Amino acid sequence: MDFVLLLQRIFDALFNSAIYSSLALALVIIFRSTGLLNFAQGEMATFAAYVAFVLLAGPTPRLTGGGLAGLVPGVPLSIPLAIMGAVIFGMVAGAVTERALIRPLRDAPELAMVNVTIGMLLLINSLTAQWWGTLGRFFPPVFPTGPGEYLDVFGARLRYNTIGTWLVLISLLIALGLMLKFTRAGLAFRAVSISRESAELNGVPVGRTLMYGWALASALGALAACLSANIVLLEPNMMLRVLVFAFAAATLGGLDSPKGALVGGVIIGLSQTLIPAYVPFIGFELSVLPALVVMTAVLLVRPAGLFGTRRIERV
Amino acid sequence: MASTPLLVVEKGSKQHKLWQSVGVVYVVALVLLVPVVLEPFEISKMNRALTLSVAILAVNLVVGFNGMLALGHSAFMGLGAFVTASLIQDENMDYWYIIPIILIVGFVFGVILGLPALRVKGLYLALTTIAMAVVFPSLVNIEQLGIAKRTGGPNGKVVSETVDAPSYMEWLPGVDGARGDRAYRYWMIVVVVALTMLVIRNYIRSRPGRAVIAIRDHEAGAAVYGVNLPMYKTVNFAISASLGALAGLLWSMDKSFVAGQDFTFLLAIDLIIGLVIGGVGTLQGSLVGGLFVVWVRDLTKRISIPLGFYDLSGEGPLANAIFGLILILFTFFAPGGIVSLGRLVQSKLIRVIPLRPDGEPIQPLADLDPGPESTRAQVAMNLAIIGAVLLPLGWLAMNIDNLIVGVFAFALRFQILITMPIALIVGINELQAHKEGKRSDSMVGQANVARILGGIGTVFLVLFGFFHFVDQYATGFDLPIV
Repeated sequence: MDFVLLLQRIFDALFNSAIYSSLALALVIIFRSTGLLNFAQGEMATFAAYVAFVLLAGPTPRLTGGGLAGLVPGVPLSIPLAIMGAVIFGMVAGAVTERALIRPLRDAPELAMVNVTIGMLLLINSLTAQWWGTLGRFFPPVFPTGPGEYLDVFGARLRYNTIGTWLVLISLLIALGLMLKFTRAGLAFRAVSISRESAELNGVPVGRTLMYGWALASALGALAACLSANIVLLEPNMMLRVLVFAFAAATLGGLDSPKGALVGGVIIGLSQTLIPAYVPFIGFELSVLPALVVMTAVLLVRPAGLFGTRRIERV
Repeated sequence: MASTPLLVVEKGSKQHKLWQSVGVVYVVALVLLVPVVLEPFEISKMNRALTLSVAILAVNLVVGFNGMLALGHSAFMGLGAFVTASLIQDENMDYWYIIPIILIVGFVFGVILGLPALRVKGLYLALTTIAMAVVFPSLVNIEQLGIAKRTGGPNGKVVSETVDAPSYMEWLPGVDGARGDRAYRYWMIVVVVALTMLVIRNYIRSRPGRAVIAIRDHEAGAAVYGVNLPMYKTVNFAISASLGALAGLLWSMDKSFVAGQDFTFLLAIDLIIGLVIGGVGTLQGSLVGGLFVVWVRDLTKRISIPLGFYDLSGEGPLANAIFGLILILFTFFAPGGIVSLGRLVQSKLIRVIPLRPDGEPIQPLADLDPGPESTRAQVAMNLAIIGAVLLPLGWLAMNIDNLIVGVFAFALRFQILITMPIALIVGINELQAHKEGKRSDSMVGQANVARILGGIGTVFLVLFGFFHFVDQYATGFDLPIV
């Protein structure tokens, strides 16, 4: 077996894993705090990436598309500032969504939440396509991605892009872990995810905590979209495929476990790249299949994911 | 307005039977006249709507009646469609023999795919089934097992044997030429849909159906009562899968072309939208949902709303945006779907009192009689007057060349179908009650107005419909009236 090729494939898969993990982390944060799946996570992330695009390109309607986006004034910003702008926009959008759409439905059955988020998916997807058109646009890379920008590891190429993305992801995870453990807001968050009523009785401001959770998740999604927008072209359906894999990753790792999101992302990314390469009859268009088969297999053995908490039904 | 509805009838009484036969007449007329009245391409849309209704019924069985969030039925539709296409093209079988095969194939796949559903619950199951729906289009292209050859690979499969109208249909007025084939398919699909709804209605009312609903309402409680959870869940899922496959058969019969791209996750979303907007857990909701998804999407494609600096045009993505918005609004304001809104309106208009086994109503009709101070006659009179006023308004509005105004104009003209007969019957009822001494004398004038106006309106409706039909379609006949 060609070891160098295997290593190369693993390195290639790791970039995908980073993106899936960060989106999966966003999903996990929302599931852990509010107990619902945000099907629109990818679309909100795409919209934030488009906001970064607008901030980068300035007020040129030809580049930024028509409508409201062409009215944004100001000089074109540099990449880190534009991404920060997108992240801030994502935070605000997440908070507003939670307040306006999710809070009134807190006692509704699960199907209602699924409906609202699917509705949001359709709405945001079509608004994005309406405003900016369906043509893919070029988004500048965040980390150096030229042909020579890689690290040579045993003969395989580890791109700086991959390293940079993983560094961002790991530092975010560490920051998240520290926040959960050592800050008041983190404590409130943990309390709300365990039991909303008890937290409320204990004086935790539940509404505000949920809002912060959604804001954080949307910011994460925005970051994931901006990081991956260079590789997959910036177009309205950009995050739909990523969303499927991110869901698979989050489900595999356990929908309420951030650690599980990371592990799940790695597993899904690896199976997406390695299985089609080494199993003869699964071509590349079928790359969705092995990831989802792996997810289903894991769910059969552990119905709550690898690190998720099992649901116990009380009579 | 009084809190009692406008009309109270005893179940099984003559009045009740009268209302029921009126309803049956409306439905039958609708079914028979649709292919005559619509354009050929609109008949195809209607066929597609009915096909989606069967699929939405399948989803309803699992989501609405069993409480499991299984959202990937587009995969079963695709399965049914491709198996049909392959059997017809490659094995030269006839459509009518394929129906039982499709049902069995769907059932078997439903059992296989439903077994994981026993272990995976709630939102995890939703994700797994959505994954199934996402994966399906790529499964069609697998080279192994000759699947790609049978499914036509990425190019799709053309079914060359179409269902054409038999020759005796040429004698029927109004359905000729391009209409004939589609009208024939429409009536076949209507028969299949009607049979399916009948079967599922009986299934829900029977013992296994009640077990399934019990599982939805309280799973642990149902288990305590002795319901065999795995068996009922799996069988229910399998029945739903075979319905989905049947919908796939109808799809391939109507379109004569199946391709993997037709059965993506977007179709699954359409099914969910139809389910929710129609009404979760109701049978009529599936029908309403299917019609809604197809027709409203068509409607939104033709809208163009200028908004000052920006033009919201209907082609392309706007239809999805409106769907998403409607889905969100319905979740907040009408969680039971259109059917729940319809039931709300119906409860204000008419109530049917069930009978006890000895033949007496469970609540004596006299208790529901609003007495001498009743406002029913007034309401009936208002209904008749409003109907009479809105009709010429709708007629005038037809001249405005705008799609949204046109839809409203149609609704304005359409409402006399409802208001006039109701005003007529309520007027007659009130006069009857007055004769029996239950009403004060001031009601008589209002009841008379309602009765007369309603009578004129209903007669006008019938005559107009008859002459319109004769004028437009019965050209092969020699009638003394032109």
